[in-house]
Amino acid sequence: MKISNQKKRFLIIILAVLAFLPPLAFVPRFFGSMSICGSPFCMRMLLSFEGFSAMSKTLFMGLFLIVTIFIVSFIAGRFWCSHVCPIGGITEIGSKAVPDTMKINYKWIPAPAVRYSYLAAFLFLPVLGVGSLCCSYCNFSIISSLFGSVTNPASRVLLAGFGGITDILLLLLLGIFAAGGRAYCNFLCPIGAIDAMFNWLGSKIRFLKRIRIDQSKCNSCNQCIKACPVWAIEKYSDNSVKINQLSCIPCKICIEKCQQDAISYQKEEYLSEKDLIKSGSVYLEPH
Amino acid sequence: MKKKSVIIIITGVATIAVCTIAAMYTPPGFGHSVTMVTRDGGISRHPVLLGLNMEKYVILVTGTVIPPYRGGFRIVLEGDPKIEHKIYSSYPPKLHLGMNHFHDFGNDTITNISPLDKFTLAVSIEPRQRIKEESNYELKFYDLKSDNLVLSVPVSFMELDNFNISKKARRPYTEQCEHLTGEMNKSKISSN
Repeated sequence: MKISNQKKRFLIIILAVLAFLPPLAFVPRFFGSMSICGSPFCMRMLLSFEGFSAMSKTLFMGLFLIVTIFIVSFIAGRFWCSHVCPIGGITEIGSKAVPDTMKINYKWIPAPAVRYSYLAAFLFLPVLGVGSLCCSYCNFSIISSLFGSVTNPASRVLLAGFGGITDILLLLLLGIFAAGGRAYCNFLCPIGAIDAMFNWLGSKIRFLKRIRIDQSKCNSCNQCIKACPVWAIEKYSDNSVKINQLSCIPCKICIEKCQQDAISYQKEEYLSEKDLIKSGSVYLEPH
Repeated sequence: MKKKSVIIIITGVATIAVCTIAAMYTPPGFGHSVTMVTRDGGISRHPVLLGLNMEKYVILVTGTVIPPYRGGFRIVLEGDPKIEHKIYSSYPPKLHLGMNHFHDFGNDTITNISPLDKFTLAVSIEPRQRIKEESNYELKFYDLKSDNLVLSVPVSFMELDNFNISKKARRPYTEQCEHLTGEMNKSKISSN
């Protein structure tokens, strides 16, 4: 029996949920914690003002995770985001249960503008003494608490008490009820934002694999644009379709949707500019 | 300027504006204190400031046990008049897989805690009569063997702006934090 790539991906995400989130949380348990939130694994706290100054020693696994994620993203793409992250993964899986008619489409919002403005606010507002976005609006915190609340009375109290409703609303609006289930990741994940920059940098190196479109095969059917959970595929006025590597995660949904086999996970050299010009899919403006 | 660039700039500015308001906002019924338990009185990094006239408050206390302290402590919310509260602990887990050491919790008391252990407590306060006047409380952690104070978290009920974002509300918040931290340090010095 052949398992599709998407089923394999969801299976890995479910394993990551068991590994990182309560009630099992196998991985944090080795370090005496019950969840990725507030444990040595907390990556976002490291990016906060206090994290840098005081918490880096206690958040050593978070540091290890961040460095590993960024290296992997530079070399191969954002596999943490697409295949492992239990938080983004669970909202994507959850959104599959919601009928398309009930989903909110955020594609009209320029995601990188929101993402990097949020990242700037996340990094600099605490330094300026304005306040911190860390923890209060964290989907790692709220999803961990939701999973934890099954067995943990403290999580239940926190969910009911500290703006838990706001966080749950954010989770629903930007997660489960968002088209693609990844709006939170696309807008408000500071790790994802930096990760995307490493992905983009790596995509500039021709021999590193990324999701790429062969313009000579593309017939502009828009199926990939509709299917992309992070709205990374953009259509231009000349009908060409391009992947924005600042948003792309290698979930490979677009590869499966493409009837023309125009999209693949491969090195840039196979799609060199010369080939594209030869195939006539790139138009050079006459001087 | 191209239309796309204008949209990107407007989106960025709007995002930063919303983020600034969100970062400044502190729910008036919630406080989080990041703490360390030590043999000589502990450290609480964020005093808890709560608003008046609310039905329910939740205080989250997360902490780490600093070596060489080990053993256990009882947790008491001290202040006048007494207010009804319940303390919940995230540990030990219901499903104990035996992979790691976890402390025990029962009757507002943590036992069997070791150096570098972490604890998470949620204190739910539901006063019978709403708190209408400014008052100061302390969540105190007493060592079970010696009855010495191993941690104290100041908890203050005070007038806060509804959204807690105006300068008027913000200034006393910061001043109060500094004041309470100063008081804590003083009490530590005097107890030594």
